[in-house]
Amino acid sequence: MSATLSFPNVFVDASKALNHDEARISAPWLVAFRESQLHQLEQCLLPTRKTEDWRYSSRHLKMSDAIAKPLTTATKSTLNNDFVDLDGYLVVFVNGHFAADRSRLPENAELTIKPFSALSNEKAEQVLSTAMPSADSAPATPPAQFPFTAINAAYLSDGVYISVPKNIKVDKPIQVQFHSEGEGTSAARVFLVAEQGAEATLIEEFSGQTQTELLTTSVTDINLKEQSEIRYIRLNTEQQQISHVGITSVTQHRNSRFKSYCIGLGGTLRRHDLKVKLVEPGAECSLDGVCVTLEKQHYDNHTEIEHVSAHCQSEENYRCIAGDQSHIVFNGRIMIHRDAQKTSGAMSNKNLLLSSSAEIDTKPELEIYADDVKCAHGTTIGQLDEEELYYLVTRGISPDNAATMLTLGFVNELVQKIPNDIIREKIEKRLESLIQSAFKEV
Amino acid sequence: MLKISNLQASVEGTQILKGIDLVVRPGEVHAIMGPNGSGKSTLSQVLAGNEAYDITGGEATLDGKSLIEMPTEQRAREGIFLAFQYPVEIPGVSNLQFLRTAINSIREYRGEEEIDAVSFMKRAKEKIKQVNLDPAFLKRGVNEGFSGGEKKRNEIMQMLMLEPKLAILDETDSGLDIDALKVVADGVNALRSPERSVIMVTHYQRLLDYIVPDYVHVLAKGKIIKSGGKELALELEEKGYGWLGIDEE
Repeated sequence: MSATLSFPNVFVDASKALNHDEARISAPWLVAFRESQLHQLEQCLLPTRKTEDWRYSSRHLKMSDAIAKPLTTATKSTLNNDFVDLDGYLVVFVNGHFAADRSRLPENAELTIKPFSALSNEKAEQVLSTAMPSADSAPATPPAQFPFTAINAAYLSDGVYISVPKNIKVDKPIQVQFHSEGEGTSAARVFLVAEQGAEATLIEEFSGQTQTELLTTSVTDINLKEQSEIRYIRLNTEQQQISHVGITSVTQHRNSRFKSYCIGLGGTLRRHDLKVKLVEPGAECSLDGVCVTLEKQHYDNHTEIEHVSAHCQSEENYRCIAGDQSHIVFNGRIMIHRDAQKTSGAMSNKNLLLSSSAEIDTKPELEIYADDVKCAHGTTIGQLDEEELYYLVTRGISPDNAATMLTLGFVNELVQKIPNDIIREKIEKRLESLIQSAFKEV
Repeated sequence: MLKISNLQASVEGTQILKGIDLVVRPGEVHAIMGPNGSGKSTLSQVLAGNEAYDITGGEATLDGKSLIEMPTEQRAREGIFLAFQYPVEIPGVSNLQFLRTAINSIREYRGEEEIDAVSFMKRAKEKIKQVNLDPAFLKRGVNEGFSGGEKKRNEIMQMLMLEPKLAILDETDSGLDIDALKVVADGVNALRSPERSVIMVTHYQRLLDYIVPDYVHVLAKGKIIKSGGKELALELEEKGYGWLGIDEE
């Protein structure tokens, strides 16, 4: 209860102190932005079991005074061993600060990738005001239920602005790495706009280490203009002690294509919200997700696809595996507005429980106001199939190995779709050693 | 090679095998025939190590080693291969990955090194052609979307890859057209050697035209009631099981 009592004051005070201490060294836009978001934060409550949207996850939320410390000090830390430089564009943040010496930004004018701190004050203000819901447009999630976006704003140090100009097809991946170390809360922010006919692949990866308590808040905004295509790979694969609450908001215009591949591994508290708004005809999105938790870990996937306009298509495939005493939540919402005729939507969520003490809560939600739509959803929860296990074992494969193969096989179809070979192989290896460890202990 | 004496087994409390005696020597091909429900498939499953069946008495040994307490995977590593009557589909696990893991598990047990990628691929491509399946199947999930006949041919392909000492074919001929039957028979015949043995469990004499057995046994109500040479199968074909005093189901 004490944590709840001091919330949100402890965060508000920390943000004020941050502004006070850094006022002389920080850019005016940043000071102004932090301040402008404080009133949002002041209205926030921590979600509880009774907050529908946090029903299954609030019990994993342990907010302490230690975690309220803004993690804004840049350290000379080394990135984790499994960090792979894809040799494309690279933007690295350490504890929220842009690490110029580790980044590789474009040298031509064809593509803009810049930390907020390198933008003009005017441009930075403009970018942040587009990204933040203005006072007159109500945010999709009321701040009272989702304080983490407000915390992210109040604790922000820097972020990345990516703009892919008209008809430019960026063939090298744009890799954004957020690394955090120490105790407290860090803020990660990405803003991407793909102009008409532009194409790019954005890879967001979170990493870090902590011996105590560390919370990452992340906010990503992606705006796809007419005919553009964005492939979005998100790796929420940081060390399990790190908590992470993040939100990705996508707005799609006419005939644009958005494809996401979200890989989530469990932690103390993990939550990713992916919200896609199809606002003009012909837009298409496909959302793939793979989520694995073990031990006492937690992971919460909240997705929301909003069909605002007619003739749009959405497809969603999430597969989750929970072992030991871990806990996964999948909440997939599809909302089809009255004018969104000829919508085609398909959502599938398949879940695999590896132990009788693991828990998966899945909730598909369809809200349909148009009358001429195709919308399907399906959810399954199961265990490894005895017959399949037996079949593999009769070929000389050990039961542990057979169980590992079947478990990996459950998500393999989605892993194979990851549109970057190096990342895909890295994920394959990571999942393999993780799943192997799950069965070795038995 | 295989020695079974007075083997008894039950499933969910129902006695299915009521004392089987059978000796299979190296290089021999035995056919086990009998009406539905006689225990043919149970015998195959019990030898392969299906834990759904309880062995309630008797003994079965492979080269002198008791199979009764031997884990399923170890039986395979010792050289037993069961071609399933109804092979399962395993989407997400590719045939290649599956075969390679199986081969390496067996090699490891025998103290051999892992098979190198090049010779593995070469062998896999060769064997899949031998059973007349599209090499593209190697990359697909195990039996995923395969027709009944393709699944059976894939069982034979696996058998050719693993080169077992004792192959047990559980009604591999059922549901096959004549061309597929020939492919299966060719596969089994290719594997025949003085060191390898085969047990064919079948309902029909048809398969025995292509794989000529050394011995034919009739299994009924959990016991072998008659054994003979290959001519016994022809007699069964002609007269049915009624001639042996068995009610045909």
